[in-house]
Amino acid sequence: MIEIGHFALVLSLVFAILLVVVPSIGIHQNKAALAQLAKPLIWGQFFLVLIAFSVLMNAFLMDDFSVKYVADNSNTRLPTLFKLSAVWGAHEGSLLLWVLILSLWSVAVSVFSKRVPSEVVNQILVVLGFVSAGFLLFLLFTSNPFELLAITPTEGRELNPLLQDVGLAIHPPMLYMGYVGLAVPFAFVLSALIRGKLDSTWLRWTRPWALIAWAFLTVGITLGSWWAYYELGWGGWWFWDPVENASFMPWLVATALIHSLSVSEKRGAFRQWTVLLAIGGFSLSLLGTFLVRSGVLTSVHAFATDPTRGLFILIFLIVVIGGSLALYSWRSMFIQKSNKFSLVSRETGLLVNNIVLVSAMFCVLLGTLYPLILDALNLGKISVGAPYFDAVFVPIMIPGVIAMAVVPFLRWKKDTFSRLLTILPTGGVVIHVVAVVVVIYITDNVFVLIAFYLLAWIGLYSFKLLIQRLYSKAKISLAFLGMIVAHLGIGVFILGATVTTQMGVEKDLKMTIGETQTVAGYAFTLNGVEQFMAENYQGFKGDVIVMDGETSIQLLPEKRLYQTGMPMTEAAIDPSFTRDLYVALGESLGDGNWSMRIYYKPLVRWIWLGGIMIAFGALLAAFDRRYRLKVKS
Amino acid sequence: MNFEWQFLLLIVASSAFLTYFLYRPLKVNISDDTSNVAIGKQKKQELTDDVLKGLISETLYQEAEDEITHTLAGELTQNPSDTGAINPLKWAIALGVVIAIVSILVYAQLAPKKPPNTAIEMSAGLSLEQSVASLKAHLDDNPDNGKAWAMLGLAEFNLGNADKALASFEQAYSLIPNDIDMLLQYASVLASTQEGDFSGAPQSLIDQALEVDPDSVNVLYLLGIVAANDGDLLLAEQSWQKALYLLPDAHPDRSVIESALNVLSGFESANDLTLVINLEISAEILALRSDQDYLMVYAKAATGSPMPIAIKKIQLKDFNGAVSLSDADSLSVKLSESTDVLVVVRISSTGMAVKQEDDIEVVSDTISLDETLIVDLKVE
Repeated sequence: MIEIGHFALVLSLVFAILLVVVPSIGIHQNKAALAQLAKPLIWGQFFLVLIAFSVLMNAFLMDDFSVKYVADNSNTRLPTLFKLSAVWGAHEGSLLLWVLILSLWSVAVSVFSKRVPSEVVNQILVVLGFVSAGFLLFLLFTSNPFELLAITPTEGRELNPLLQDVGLAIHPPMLYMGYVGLAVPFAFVLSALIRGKLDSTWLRWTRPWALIAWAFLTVGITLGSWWAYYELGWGGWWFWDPVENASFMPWLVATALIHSLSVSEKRGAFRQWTVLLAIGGFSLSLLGTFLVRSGVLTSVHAFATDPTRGLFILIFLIVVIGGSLALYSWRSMFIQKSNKFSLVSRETGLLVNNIVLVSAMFCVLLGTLYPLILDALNLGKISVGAPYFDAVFVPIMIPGVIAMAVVPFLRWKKDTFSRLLTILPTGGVVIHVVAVVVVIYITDNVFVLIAFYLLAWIGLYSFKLLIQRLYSKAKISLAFLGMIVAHLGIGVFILGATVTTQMGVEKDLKMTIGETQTVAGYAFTLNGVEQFMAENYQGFKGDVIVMDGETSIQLLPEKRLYQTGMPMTEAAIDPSFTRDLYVALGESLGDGNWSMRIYYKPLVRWIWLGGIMIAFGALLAAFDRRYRLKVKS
Repeated sequence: MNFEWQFLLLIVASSAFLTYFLYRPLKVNISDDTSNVAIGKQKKQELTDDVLKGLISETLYQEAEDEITHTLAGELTQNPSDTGAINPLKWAIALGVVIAIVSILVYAQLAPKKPPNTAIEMSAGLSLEQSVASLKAHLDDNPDNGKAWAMLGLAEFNLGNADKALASFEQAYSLIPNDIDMLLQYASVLASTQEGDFSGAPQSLIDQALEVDPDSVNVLYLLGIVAANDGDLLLAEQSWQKALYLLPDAHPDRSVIESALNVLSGFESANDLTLVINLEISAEILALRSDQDYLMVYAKAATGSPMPIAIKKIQLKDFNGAVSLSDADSLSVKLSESTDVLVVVRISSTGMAVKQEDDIEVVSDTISLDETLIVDLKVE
């Protein structure tokens, strides 16, 4: 059975190579029958990768330890859900998932691009086939998940306990949908460059794909943050971990891309810049892949430490980025000149947005790569962490957030400050009232006050924009609603992140059985700690009673010990819309004492609510009616 | 159906699938120009909407509309309307042949070579000399098969050809330097050429294997043997205890490692502190329990961590009235380094570390090891 999966993967590589070669011959020699073979080839490739993936999943479910990857990452006692998610729990399987998702995106392009000329779609599929072939070669020759063991062990090892969690079942597939999804706008751009036709067609049809990929990337990053919060036992939601940054950088560029595309497709401006952003977004995805899988980084995410793999991706990265930029420099003369716009205009506003986002991306890139470069040059080891990012990233982003509320009021091509100033003052009064209420009733913390200001600013002007649009005779589009929801999501996220960071209370305590500690006005009593045994781990379970006024809440934090001997902290959380109570059980300190972490996290859920709103807004915009254009052949 | 037939079926199905689309190609939908014109019209409609929404001033409307027209004019090209025909049969054959040859060649490159142990199994009826000849023939065709070189090294060693064995292992090492089995075999063969001394190159090979996988039971076991031979009983015990911990309960290799630990405890006993527990189990209890049930006796600190310091687990059928605990039974903290302990006796049908519902447990009073080394306990 395993051999079938392995052979199906080899066949899918052959299909990917044929996808690059045969339709290209058809396009070049104007033979439609060959060019039109692109779609069947991608369907076939997807089906073959699906066979390979299903075979590997079956091997996990059947405890087939003759497969090295299964023996290394699963055992008979692993619960079924984690046997399924273990398929992508380590390097080889996660790469297979990556390839499966890439072919899924390609199939989606082939099926849902009926309004795009066949010639364009075929060329896009050729580019996606090239990317797919690169990853299949990497998978088969350096990271083969179907490698067999000479001697079959009677029992397998253990899936990394950190990954034995529902979050793992969802976070990587969502993140990969986003990462890999950026290959689609990249393929649209490359296809346009290869054909020398950087026209309205590619600009219009790239945006919905970029929006969907961006929505998935947002959901993936949000889920990762949520998973880190409850699974790592530190109560943090973002650590500026280099691998987190690796997913955040393409997100920033993709955010710039969807805004730049809106100008390019509607007003014919920023076309060259849009091309570069599409190339940059996918290149940063590949850079993230290189960082995670080459072994240059050590983190909870870095599951590969093989230099051969790193070298392969580095070469692929150079080929893709170098090839794309070379193609750009060769074909950029085909890009039409930008239409004119004045200094005060919507185009300029969106340009500011792009400058802010790309500057922020470079700030994150610098903070991520600088320690690696120093280390590589033997200039010492340094760690760039939260203080750097807080000091550099946050100030860069604040003007962008302020502009976010104002730019939607600006007119295309030309506007005036005087007209803009007639809109702003009414809002200013309301926002100051909100700030005074916050100072009196909530806090005088200046950062929290700024966050409230920003949310009130975005909320008020979004509301005003909505009212203004309702009074006009034009229909309200999904794209407009999507923009409002996503911008509000940013405001909600900022408030959640600021309030939880500034007003949260974190206490590391020593507690005796029966002892009560008061944190942020809540009384936490450690009732006891007992040993317990689960299917594939054993450990200690604490029994903590929290008094919230008259209401008592039971929290059961766990300290788990897995077969590998790796201890794991399983925090117990009482969630609510306004605050989380977070308890983690630490080590036994003897004499019935235990170290405990007790956190009070106000508005922490708003962080992920904001993320979901952003993603939802993007999906709304992607399904706008303008993308359902009827074109008669 | 064997794999070759299944592979053939996949190749034929793939080729047939593509052949169908060569004979019945998907229809071309629209041209670039049609698409750009439709989008141009849509953009003009959106421009009108933008005026209504106040997103562009009426004075600039005409200019913006002209820009859309100008952009469209620049995009329109004469699309070639006639497309060349192809010979579907020729292409179908070509694609079928490419799919078959490339997939088989790539798979042959990637598929596991005939496993050396299979080769040995296949030649079970052959002499060692014939097996060596068979392996050499295999290596003539597959010189990059590191596993086979390692097998040849082992076979040559068993034939007494130490030099040839080492040459084969050197070859294996150059091909599969991170293969744990090979590293351990190479280390053992090298050590035997040094009269069983693992110092130097054999030790480096074991260290390398440990670096590749610190949780490999085989590496830990050999590491324990080397440490015991060097007199480093602590390292030997730690390695074997870790190996034992990593192995599942029912694993057959456990008994080998447990035996090794027992041997080690014999070495250590001279310096050990031994706590003897004289245990009396009532006839009623014995009648209720199976002789397959486990008797677990352990000492834990009187205060502090509830984890056992030293533990012994035997089946009731092997119980002879007394159980002794010593450093050999210790896990991390040594019994001899402890002062006040509690002795816990548990009869369990599962033998699990955590107390189950039907387990019977008796706990002693606090025992000072400085004063008492014999404890009497009753289970009634």
